[in-house]
Amino acid sequence: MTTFVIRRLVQIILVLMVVSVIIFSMAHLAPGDPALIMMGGKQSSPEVLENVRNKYHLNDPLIKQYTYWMTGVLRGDLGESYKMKQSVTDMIIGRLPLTIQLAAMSMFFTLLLAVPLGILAAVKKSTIVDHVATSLALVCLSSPVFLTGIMLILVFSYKLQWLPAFGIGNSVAENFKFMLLPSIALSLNMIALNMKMTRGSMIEIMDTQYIKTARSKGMPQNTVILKHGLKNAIIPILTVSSLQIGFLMVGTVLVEVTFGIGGLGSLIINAVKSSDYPVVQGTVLFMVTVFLLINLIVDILYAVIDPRIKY
Amino acid sequence: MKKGRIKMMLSVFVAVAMLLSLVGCGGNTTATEAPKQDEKTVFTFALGGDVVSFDPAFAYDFTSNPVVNQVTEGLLRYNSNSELEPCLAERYENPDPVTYIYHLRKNVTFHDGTPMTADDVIFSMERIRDPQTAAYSAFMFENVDTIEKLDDYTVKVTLSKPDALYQYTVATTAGHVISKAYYEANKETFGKPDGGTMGTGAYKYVEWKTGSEVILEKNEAYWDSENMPSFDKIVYKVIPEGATIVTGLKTGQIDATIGIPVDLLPLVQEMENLSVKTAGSFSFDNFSFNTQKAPFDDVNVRKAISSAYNSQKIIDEIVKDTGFYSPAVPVPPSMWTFGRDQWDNFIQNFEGYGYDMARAQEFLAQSSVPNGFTATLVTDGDPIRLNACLELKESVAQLGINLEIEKVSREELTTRLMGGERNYDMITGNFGADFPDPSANLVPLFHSKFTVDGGSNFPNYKNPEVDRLLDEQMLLTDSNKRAELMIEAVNIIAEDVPCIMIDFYNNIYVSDKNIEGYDIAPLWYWDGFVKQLRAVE
Repeated sequence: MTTFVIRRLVQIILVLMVVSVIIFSMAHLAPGDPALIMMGGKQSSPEVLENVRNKYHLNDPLIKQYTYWMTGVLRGDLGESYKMKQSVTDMIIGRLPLTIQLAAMSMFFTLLLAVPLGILAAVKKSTIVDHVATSLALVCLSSPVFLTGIMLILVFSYKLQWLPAFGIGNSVAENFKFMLLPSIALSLNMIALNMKMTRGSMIEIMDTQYIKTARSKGMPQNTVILKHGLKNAIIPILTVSSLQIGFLMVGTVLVEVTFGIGGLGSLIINAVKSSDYPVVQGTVLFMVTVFLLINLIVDILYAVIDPRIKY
Repeated sequence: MKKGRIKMMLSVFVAVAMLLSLVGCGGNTTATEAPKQDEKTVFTFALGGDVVSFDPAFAYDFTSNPVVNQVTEGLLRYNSNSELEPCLAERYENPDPVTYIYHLRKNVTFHDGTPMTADDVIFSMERIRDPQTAAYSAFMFENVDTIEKLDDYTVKVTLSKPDALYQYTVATTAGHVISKAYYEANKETFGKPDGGTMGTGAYKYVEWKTGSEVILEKNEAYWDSENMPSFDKIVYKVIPEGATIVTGLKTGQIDATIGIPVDLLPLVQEMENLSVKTAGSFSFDNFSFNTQKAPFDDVNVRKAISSAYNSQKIIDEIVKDTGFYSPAVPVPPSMWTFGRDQWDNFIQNFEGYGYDMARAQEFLAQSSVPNGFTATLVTDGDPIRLNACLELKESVAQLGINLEIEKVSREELTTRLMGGERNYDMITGNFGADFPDPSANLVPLFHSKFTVDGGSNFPNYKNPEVDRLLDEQMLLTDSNKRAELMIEAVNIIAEDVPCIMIDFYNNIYVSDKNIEGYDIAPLWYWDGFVKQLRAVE
């Protein structure tokens, strides 16, 4: 196990190095002159532009610029935002709690609803319950987050006026009510996908010999389903959930913009819109790191859940 | 029976989930109700994007300025007619064209209670004009030679040569005064969330949760007793999604906003709880020809294309209430804060090269390329500019001109427009003057010195006579004479057709009907307007 974790960590570092080169080149090969973009289409002079270029090392060869960036990154310094003139590291740290809360609430709703509904649909396969659940899942799966977000705002904020349409509160507890709509919007797709995954996985398991044996022994139905069925069906669900962290990250971008929440998602979208390369590079690198680490944790969880899996 | 138990468990799950959401809703109803009018103490304003910085050096855009202007102020400010009036300076003198002497008010203190003196004023201005700061508005100090302290409350600015536009600088964020002591103690964090800013305005900095909201609080010790603010607190909400802003305006969670998206305007206009106010602006969209490049170096080609463009169609179908049209040059009538009569007289007799396909054909026949040619037109995805490009492409096709549209990102368009290379045939662009003076658009767009890197001479237009007229008017203080020279320049420019006008923008201010006190102005983004607002019944 320890060797597995160490080996994976080394892999992650290698992947991150490759990713950092890709992120850096994509940002720097995009058309447009960063110094001119920084001035936002306003008048400036060749002197001012030259100062800007010197300050951000824009006149140096790309390899040298990459070295400057990486040396900073290794020390935890992701550079300075072109537009906001703030430290990218501080900007990420400042906005992280909101995004974590949003993601955690969505994940909570997803698991709370998707797994039970999936089991229900599987157990009630080909009945009206199953048909309703799968059709709903199809609708949810094919509705983009920004659409469900605006629909929720229209119903719960505009018409019913139950929940705030945007913004955040002053504490984690107060954020709860502000983030209810966004996290539901964000979790709908995932609920649908996880539900379908649970259903498929459960149907397959429920058809195996050992389930039939368990049943014929006269074991109670819910023990068969939860202990023998679900436990074996959970691995694919876990895999999908972990991959959905990636989806969740993309989703937060859209949801944060729709609901006016200043998390990582809105940071990255603003940075992309204003070609604020240091922020784009920093946040993307950060998100990739998080994604890789979560996958590592999930791999470790496999071994915990299924004793047959050994590393 | 056993199946039933599972069903029961699942129903419990679902019930818990529903309960949870209901608890969430229940706790909220009070918080989301609009506060009662008689105790309205908080003003909530929606911003379409985040504040860039509280540092006046970098606060130079439509989402930073409506926040920063409430906290820091300049020596002068604009009144509702876009004319200069005293602010931190109680009066100023202009004894000769290159000397400005500002007499500061003696009763002004910063939000930390320290008095504002000449040292703070000089420090603030020197910091913006220092190229090392790379302030966005540094160009406004281009012709400033020295800034001196005559005594603690008198500042003398000497220009290297007369500059008719300099007078406006101290009414913009470029002239905002910050506390020198505060800046020096908080160099690293100044303008950012941790450091905020230290000004003299009607509101003081409290908190900035980047990407989400900004909170300002009333300055009880504000120097301007005639303009004491009414609201105790301003909350700015950062909401990039227009539909969300509209929801907030309807439910009363938002009191006001400026710059509602084009497609949502009709919805807002119908809402009974809102008032919509409009003011023209000095900002515009246009097409520019690269006048140094064949075949656009031939004036007949430019006249032909200009005559083929149906400007009214784009105004009627796309721009609608969000903008207006004014012909030939990027100067709307409202920009003539002086010499208006001379301008009206000129424009009445002005023929120009408006939509007329028969004339377009004649001009092309007289040109170096009578049988047409192929060229590219660069634009970004902005709906007005893109639609205007498509309209023009279709129209000139009838003349045998194949105009290929090259669609690029906003950033690339900015780079092409403001870069010294000028590598395009035709390009769309937008620009807007920061001063109520026609030369603030004419000079940066048509003076040949602005074809360089960072310059905004989009048409790459080089006409020595126009340069001379624009330079000469800049040296004068007599506004009638200035207007005369500028109109002479406009006449030459209009005959040279370096660009085709698409539209000028309207500034649109939407607010709760029960909040009064501000009529939006063309230069609203220099106004610290919240102090004027009052809640009425």
